[in-house]
Amino acid sequence: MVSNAKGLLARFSPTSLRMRLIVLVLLAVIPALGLILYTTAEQRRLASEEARLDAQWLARLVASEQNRIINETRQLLRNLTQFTQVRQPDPHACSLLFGDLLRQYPQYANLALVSPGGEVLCSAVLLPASADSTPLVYTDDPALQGALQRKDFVAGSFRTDPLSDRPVVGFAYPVLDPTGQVQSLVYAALDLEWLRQAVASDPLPNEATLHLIDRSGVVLLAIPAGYARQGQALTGEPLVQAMLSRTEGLGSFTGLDGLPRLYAYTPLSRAADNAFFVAVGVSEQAAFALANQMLVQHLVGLAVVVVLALGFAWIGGELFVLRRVRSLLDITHRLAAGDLGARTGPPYGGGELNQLALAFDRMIETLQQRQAERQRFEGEIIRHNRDLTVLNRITATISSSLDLPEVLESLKKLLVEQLNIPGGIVYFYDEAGDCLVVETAWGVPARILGEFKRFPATDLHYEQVVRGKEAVLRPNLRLVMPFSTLGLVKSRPNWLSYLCVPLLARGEVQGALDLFSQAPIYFTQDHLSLFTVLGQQVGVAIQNARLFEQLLAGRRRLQVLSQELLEIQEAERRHIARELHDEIGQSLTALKVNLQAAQRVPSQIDSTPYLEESISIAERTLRQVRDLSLDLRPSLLDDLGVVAALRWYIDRQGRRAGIQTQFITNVGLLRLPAGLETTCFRVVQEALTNVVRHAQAKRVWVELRQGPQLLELFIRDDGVGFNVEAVMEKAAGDLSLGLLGMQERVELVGGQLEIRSDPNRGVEIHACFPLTDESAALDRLLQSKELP
Amino acid sequence: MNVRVVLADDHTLVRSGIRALLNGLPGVEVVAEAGDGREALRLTENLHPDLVLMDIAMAGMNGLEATARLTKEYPQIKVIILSMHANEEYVLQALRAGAAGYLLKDAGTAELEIAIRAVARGETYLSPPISRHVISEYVRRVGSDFSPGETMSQAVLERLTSRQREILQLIAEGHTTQEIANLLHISVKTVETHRMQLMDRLDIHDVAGLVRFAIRVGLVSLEN
Repeated sequence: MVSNAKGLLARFSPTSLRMRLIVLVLLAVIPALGLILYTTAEQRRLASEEARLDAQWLARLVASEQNRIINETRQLLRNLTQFTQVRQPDPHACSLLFGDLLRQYPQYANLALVSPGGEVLCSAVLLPASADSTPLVYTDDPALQGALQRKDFVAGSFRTDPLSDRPVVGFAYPVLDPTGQVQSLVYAALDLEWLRQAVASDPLPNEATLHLIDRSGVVLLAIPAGYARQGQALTGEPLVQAMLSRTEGLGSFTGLDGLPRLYAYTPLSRAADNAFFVAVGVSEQAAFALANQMLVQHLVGLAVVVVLALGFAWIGGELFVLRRVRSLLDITHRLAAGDLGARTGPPYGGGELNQLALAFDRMIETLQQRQAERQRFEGEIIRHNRDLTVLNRITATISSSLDLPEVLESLKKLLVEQLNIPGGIVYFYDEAGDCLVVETAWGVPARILGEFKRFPATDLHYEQVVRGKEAVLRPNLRLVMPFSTLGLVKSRPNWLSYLCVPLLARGEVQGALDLFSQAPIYFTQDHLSLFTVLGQQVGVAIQNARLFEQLLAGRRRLQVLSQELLEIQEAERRHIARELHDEIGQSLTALKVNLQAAQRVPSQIDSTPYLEESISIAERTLRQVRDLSLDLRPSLLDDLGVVAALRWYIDRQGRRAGIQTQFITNVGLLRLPAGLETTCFRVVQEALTNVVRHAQAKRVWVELRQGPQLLELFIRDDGVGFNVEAVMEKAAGDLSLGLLGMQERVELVGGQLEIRSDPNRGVEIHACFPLTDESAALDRLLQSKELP
Repeated sequence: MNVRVVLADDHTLVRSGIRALLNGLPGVEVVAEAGDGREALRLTENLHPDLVLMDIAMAGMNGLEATARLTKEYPQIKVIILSMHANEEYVLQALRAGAAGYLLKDAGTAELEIAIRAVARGETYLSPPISRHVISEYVRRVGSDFSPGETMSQAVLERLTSRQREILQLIAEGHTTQEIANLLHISVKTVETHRMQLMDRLDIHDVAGLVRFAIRVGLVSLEN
């Protein structure tokens, strides 16, 4: 409701489009209105002008008519003076004549002959039978007085004729005797009633009024009829005063009927001695009527036009503008409310509004696309976030433990629970055999798993995983070997897609991870990166766990070793002590005793036998010391280098043990770093000791081979051999201890030791050492034959 | 004419013992004593003795190395190796280094004299326990040979120019480029050029590597 009211308010507010349109229409009408008003004013002016002319013309017309009547009267009266009946007054004949004339001239109320003294001599109207025969006197009529004095025709003023009892205006004309004296006066009483009727019979146009007054301001005639002021003296009226000014004139006055009019006034002819004044009033309202009527018509017309225009503006605006605008507005509101599906829709056409609508639609289209894009991005971000969270959790979980089975177990659990991976296989990469070995799995039937416990890393797509260190993604599991052929598809029909990621640690392949999903295209490129990272995390975790295991094993071995080492050291010390005490000490004692004996021999006796004995003892002692020293560390190694030392040692040991030996080397002149020489010598020493003690071998081959970067030592025998793993695992007994010691020595100088053996297949020991830069440089230089 | 002898042994006690023995021999004159191979070489260059009695195990430059260099440069000077070891490999190496005699240190005065006389005459002398036959047997077994060999240092140094050798030694001794230029009276630029060539030749591209190299081939000793 509120919004409706608001809408309504908006629609009719002065700023609304419709109101503006209406205001425009109204503004457009203003000139027309002005024109109409101007025309009307002009018309009114013209009408007014016309009314003036009309009034003047009518006034003149009436005046001339009245003048004609007065002149007629004058003519009549003058003619009458010539009549004998008048000159020779005979009342009876005169009365007859006058009676006749009166019948001929109905305009007169009476015709009379009056003596200069005012006595009525004869009259057309019969004199009343007066009882005392007192003559009727007309002295009150100014016309008689005037005519008497001026001896000419004189008009009188309003009076009621006593004989006819009618309102009249008297006219007198003197009858002169031959001497020129006024003999009598002819008198005519003009019947104002007749006059009124005469005027009324020819009605004045345009509701005009007519006033006729005499010189004293008495109203003689007032047309139209019903005018009740005849005979009244109205000198106070402005109109009357103007009329009495004896001039022609024109002016707006309140008429004697009390209504304002335009009056034209004029005195009657001078012949009548300005006795009468006439005024014709024309109604200005009547004159303006046409103009007013036209004005009304024009205004009505204009109003119709305006209404029509407004209607058109209203409807047309609705049709052509507002509907479109409202729809745009509506769209905008819907847009603001978040509805991006809103469209103004076609047809668009060519107008600005249509263009606007089109532009609007396009804008919304763009907005919608952006929105969709943003939503997609948001979706991606959310998914990424989820992935990262999962990844994080997995990382945190699997890196929280260094126990390999525990790591793998939590990995499985997380993959199943967090990523909905129903099945998977974890392989470890066996570098030595270049094989993948199944470490653990879940969801995969044991029968299938049993088929490929261990297989070459170059098989199928695993080559790409292990060699290329790339994930392999297969949207359709049915097409993935070996699972398709092994019947995995049959036993797990709802597994659809497949992904295999390498397990990497610091760029090295630790293994591979097979993942199966029930979703058809679950492993997308996005997932690929997630699982690739996951593979790295798992790889690192596995490597860490393995390293930790190795570390533990190493520490165990080290403990055993150091234990053994202490014992060996003790044994060696015991041996040396015994040698020193039992052998050398005894010899030196014997030497000392001998020398003392020689000293005590009297000078004459020859002491030579004692001295010879002493020298012999010293020689033997020296030999013992030399042997002891040689056993501890052959000086050859320092003085002559490892090649010479090995050559001599191998030869001597072989001869002692009755084993055929062969020593091959390409080392030549190069002296190796002292540590490396010692290690090589000790490894060979240990190996030969083992051969002599355990191998029952007939032949031993030793080779020291130098490459550009590596120094390699091979020791092989054709003896009984042993189970390497079992012996190394045991980490006890002098064989395994010797092997472990060998390994420790090799690793101490950065090398690697490999022992291969099987029962009855002899033993092959391969030690491999990195050569330092300058050793390599030295060797290169020695190999180069060119001389500077 | 006396046989002029330089005696090289790093054990002062042994040296004075032998010297006492030699001084008792007629016609034998000890002209100088050296504590190591390097000193022995220097003395030999200066004194031109007829014979050098050389111990094997000496710090710095050992006796075999010194022998090899000495006999190569001064073929007329004879060297007798004095050794504790009646060991075929030692004898073999001594002979290949160019020694004319191999004498065990516990040999008696008589044997010492015989050896000196024999070698001075231009013969080869070996102590009785290590007869020529024993050595031949050994050589046959291990598949080596008698022919004179060169040492690693000799081989290496022969493959460098004397200038390169000089500069390598000076670098290894810790001299700066400027110091080397001053010492050799050449420009710093030239020193750098030599050094670059040296590094290219050896394919060693840092000074530490050069130092290690020089020590390994005996151009400088750790003691210095």
